[in-house]
Formats: sequence, C-alpha cells, structure tokens
Amino acid sequence: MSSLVFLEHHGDELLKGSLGVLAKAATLGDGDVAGIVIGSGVRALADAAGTFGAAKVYVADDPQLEAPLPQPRVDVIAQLVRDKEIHTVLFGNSVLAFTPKDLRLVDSYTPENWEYLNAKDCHQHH
Amino acid sequence: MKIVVCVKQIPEGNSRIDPGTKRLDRGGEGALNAFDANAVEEALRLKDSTGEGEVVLLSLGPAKALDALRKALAMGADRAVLISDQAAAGSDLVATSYALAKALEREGADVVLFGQQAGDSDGAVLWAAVADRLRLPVVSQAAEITHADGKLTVKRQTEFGYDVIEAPLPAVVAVSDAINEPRYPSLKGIMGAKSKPQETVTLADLGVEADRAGEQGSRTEVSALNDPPARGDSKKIVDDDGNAAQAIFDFLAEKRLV
Repeated sequence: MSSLVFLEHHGDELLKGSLGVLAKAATLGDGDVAGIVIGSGVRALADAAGTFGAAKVYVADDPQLEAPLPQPRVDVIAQLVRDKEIHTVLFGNSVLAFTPKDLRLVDSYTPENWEYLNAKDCHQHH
Repeated sequence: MKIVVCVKQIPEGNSRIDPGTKRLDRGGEGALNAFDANAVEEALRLKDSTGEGEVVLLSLGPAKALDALRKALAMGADRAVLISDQAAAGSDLVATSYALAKALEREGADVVLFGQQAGDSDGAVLWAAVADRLRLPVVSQAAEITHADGKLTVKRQTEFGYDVIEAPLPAVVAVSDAINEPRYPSLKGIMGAKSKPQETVTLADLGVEADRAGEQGSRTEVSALNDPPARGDSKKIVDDDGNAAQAIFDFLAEKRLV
C-alpha cells in the first residue's frame, strides 16, 4: 500500500504540520510514503521533504500553480493517485488543505470546477 | 439573488456518542449550529445589499431539526426545506453531500452558504463535497463577501493573512465565524417564523437512490470508540504553604524547560 502526503508550503518553507504528517506516515511502516509539493518555484523544497521520511517526492512546479487555490492541487493529486496507484492521501490541518482533503472523499470527483476560480490578489500579512 | 444556507441542528450542550450505534446521540435538546448562524447572518446581509432576493434554509436531519430551522427563520430567512427520512440515518459525508446536492439542484441557488464547521462533530468538510458534486467553485474560510457584476469577491482568512478570491455565480462559500456577529431574533421575528414556509421532503422526493443514502450510501464506518489514554505523567501542585511558585519552577527546571 502506498501513501502520498500533501506537503503544503508557505514562501520557501514547507509547513511544519505537513512535515509532521509525513514523519508520522513514515513511522507507520505500511508501504512506501511519498510526498508531493505543488506550486510555482517549489522544486528546491523537495530536498527538505526527504529528510522527514519521504521515500519519493513528486513536484508539480508551474506558474499556473502560483495562486493558493485548492482545486488545481486537487487536479494534480487526483492525476497522481490514478497514475501511481496511491491508496491513501494524507493532509495536514490548514485552510488550504481542507478543501483538497474534502474533495478527495467524494466518489464522483472530476476536476471540472477549478478553472472557474481566479485569485485576484493575495495579501500576506499578520 | 437566491441564497441557500445549509444548516444543521446539533445537540445542545455536550455531545454524547451512543456506544451502541456509534452515532451522535440526538435524543436531547437541539440547537442551531452556532457556526451556521454566521452563514445565515451573511446571507441576510447579502440579500439586503442587493435589495432583493430570497434566503432559503436547507437541512438534513430528523423532524425535530425544524426547531433549529425556525430559529434561523426568526433571524430573517424566508423559508426552510428539511430533508427528513429514516433511510438517511447514519449518513456520512459522502451520503449527506449527495442528498444536499440533490436538494440544491432543485433549488437552483445563486449562492450556497455554509458555516465553517459543525459544532458537534467538528467536521469541516461538507461544503467542499457539495461543491464538488454540483461542480461549482468553492471558497472556504470567508471573512468578507461582496457581490458585484455577477460574481462574488471573497476575502479568505488563512494562517498567513488573507487571500482575495473571485468566483462567478453560482458558487459555494463557507464562512468563517469571524465574518460577522449573528443577530438575535426579535420577538416579531420569532412570532413570524411560525408562519413562514417550512417544507419537509423525503429522499425519494429529491430522487436520491436508496443505495446512496444512510449507511448503505456511506463510505466510512466507525469501527470502535475509545476513551483517550489517561495522562500518566502529570503532577499536581497545591499551594498550601505559599511555595507553589517555587515548586512549579523546580518542576520545569527538572524537565529542562526553564
């Protein structure tokens, strides 16, 4: 059985919650654990994931994935699940991860709705 | 603009799991899920901002869930639809989202609003599943919603700040509990709620197939319930001689935390 962990990032860092899920998944000893990083300019983040127990890290790196929208990420993950016969997809607890997590649970998924969304502007401030 | 708000009646007070059925015990008093009150309030504000439209409540639950719907009607919603059917008992996310989606297809809403989570199970998943079934754009954790030119602009609250997201109508939005302060129903609203349209429909009325509802239509199963493990590594410090502060410090120092 193979597992895939959605490795969410912010800026040039993987989120601790995602890495915690990855580390936990690696200790379960239930087959291969892979991670996936999705975004724009995120290739370098894959190296960090290896130190937290990922046997393999998939990277979806495309300028179209820059906006922090869930649906394109669902699209990527769904394709990977189909192509690599992944049995379990694990997510950390975050605003962004909530939606792909939910959509994975639905039995009739097709990624038809992501293109309707448009991130107009993203403000990062506290 | 037609706005449908999906709401849930939850047990009042502390939730209890029935060990026999492994389901939430809904035998006691019920209340409108507090997070859903934020969604109702936002729907009323959206309706007010456009100057026309209708706010419809939609719920899946036992017949007594109408009590919770009446509270939302008293806040100002126009009518309520309750999906109530014994065959829906035990529905998980997959089955519930299917029934709600069927009802929403019938309603043909411009905007579908949800609260951010259920106050009983703390589930925060239904809105995305419903949006996926309806093939509609979905925005979660909305801290602000504005409507103009046939689209919604949503300020989404995240761990790092805010994202501003546009979505064409129809759309599904799950609102944050920080988006507004729900109004209290007025006496006039409470009295008026009784006479507002309240429709109860069955799964068959919506065209929900028998094998897609209840436990039969669910994809998850609760296999066991257990108490959390006892906290063994704890130490109680009683301040009976005025030295509690020192005792706490010594304890933390022993753990190398100070």
